[in-house]
Amino acid sequence: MQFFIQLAAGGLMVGAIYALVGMGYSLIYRASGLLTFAQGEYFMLGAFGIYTFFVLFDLPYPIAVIAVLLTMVGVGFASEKLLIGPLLRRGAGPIHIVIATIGLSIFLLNTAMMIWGSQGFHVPSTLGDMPVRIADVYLVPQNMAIVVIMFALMIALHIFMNKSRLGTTLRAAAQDKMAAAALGINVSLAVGLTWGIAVGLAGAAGLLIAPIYGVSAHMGLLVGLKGFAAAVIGGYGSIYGAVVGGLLVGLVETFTSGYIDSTMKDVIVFAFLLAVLFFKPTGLLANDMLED
Amino acid sequence: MDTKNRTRLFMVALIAALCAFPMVVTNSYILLIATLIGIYIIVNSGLDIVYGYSGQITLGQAGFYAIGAYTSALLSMHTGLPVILCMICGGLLASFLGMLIAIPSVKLVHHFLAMVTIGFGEIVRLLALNGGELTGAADGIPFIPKLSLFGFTFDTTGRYFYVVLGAVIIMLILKQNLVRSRIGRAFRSVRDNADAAAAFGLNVRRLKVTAFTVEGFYGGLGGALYAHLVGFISPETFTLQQSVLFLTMVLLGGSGNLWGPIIGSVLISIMFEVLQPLGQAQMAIYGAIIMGVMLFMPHGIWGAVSTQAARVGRRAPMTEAEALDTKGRS
Repeated sequence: MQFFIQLAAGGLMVGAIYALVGMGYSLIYRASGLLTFAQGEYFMLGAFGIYTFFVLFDLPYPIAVIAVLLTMVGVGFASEKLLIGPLLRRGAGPIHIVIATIGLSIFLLNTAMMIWGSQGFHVPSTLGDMPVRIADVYLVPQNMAIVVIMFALMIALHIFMNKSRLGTTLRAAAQDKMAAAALGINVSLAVGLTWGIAVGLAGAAGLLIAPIYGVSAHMGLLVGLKGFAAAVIGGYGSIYGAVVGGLLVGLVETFTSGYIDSTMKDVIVFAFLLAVLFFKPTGLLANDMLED
Repeated sequence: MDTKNRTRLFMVALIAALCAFPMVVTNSYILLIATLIGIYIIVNSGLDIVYGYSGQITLGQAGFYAIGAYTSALLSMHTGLPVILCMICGGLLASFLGMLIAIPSVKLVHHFLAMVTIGFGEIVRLLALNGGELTGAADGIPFIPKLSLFGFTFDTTGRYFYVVLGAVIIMLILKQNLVRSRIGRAFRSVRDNADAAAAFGLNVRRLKVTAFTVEGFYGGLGGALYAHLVGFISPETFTLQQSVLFLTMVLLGGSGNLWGPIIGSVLISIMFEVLQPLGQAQMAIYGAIIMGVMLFMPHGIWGAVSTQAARVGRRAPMTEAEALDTKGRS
């Protein structure tokens, strides 16, 4: 039982990371009906961001966190303005966007390796690295913080998107660009901002995981794919779907490594993704991913 | 001389030049690159049938490539079958798996199809990586036997070059025959407008499955040719990056025609060799090139060239007065 709870706690932590990355996919999909393959690399940049601002520049933790988040939102905004927007204006199809973002991810990965090198780096946790014992189960404070922060971000995003004026304009721009523009909404700015928030979420996931897994240039690829799996399993385009899917993927992964074989965990996760796409492609919420 | 004869003459000259290539160039490294380019042309031509002609995205090409390579390597090492048969088995198994994966996934559109094919490729790679003694896990399979035909062993790269050249010619002829047939026209109609194709009574799903099945064979055969060329395979050859590389070659060259995948395979392979001394920057430049191609040349080099040619061939635009004037003079 203790082992079970331990695994569940680990699964929720990993799942929260996938959920954050997955929320980004869903936001971008809602805003522009597109898929970016660079989410994993944005996640990696978030981790390198906290390493740079907190460890190298020695800034106080809260300031470093704000700096990383602002940088990542800027990176997302710039990606939309410099790559995705121009592609769409030139009449590129979805496949061109997919390939271009793969190009972007290769570019970001190798640029990161040129800047920081290919080895791993350690980022200390501000909550301490020692596990806390709660009723026979040892929990690392950072792990618990990740799950709590993920839910807090989800609620904040919900309030922002549904209650605030800016969030409402973002949703309007996502729903019907022409009608939104006719009502005086700056659609171009809104789409850019949505990309900024989505990339910011991936960056937040990276900065949160840094004290646990360390920071290295190759950390993004699998997380990017699994974040996508999270978004699809929950129901692509839905924020809550991404959270449910993320936690599910995290749990499947840790239980596979705990009870079956840790080398099989990625195979099982991808098989799970394929099974969902084949048998229940709409995930938990209906949307228009199907052709017919 | 009409265009058809000119094209035929050009083909014969090109093949003759390629036949002379290993006699002129003796540097075995250059020969290795040239042979690899041939293998890439086969794989990418198969990919072009799915992407260029049928309009379906696929990023699982490395999976087919791996299945062909592992099947052929294992069969040739553990059974007494001639290597050429093992290669064909590799192609057929990849083709069969291509069909199996396509049946449930052709209902999905772009990104989701992309993700299914990525998932497929990753599962194949992870299974090879965790395959224990059979696949040699991360260490891979060394000492893969060389191909011999009728008592003649193709043991040097220069000799193997001819095998690959022959395979390229056969596979390209098959591709041209396929895309010019009724099925090829059906593929294009699915690409251009799936709804209209269905309305005309075409079985869109079955056509897509057919395209993936054909692609699987091209990918698997390419992988098998690769395994017996290098003599060593390991999971790190068959990553998602390899699939991306294949698709990039098709996109750079231009999809949906004979020459695009060939141009793309040649140019990207040469670019990699030229940029080699730059180390890490090589891959960053490669990423930037992908973005640049998508932005400025979405139809690839062949697409850009043929658009230009069409523009040159067209009559210069005239105003109504000019047109009337010319008529009056003649």
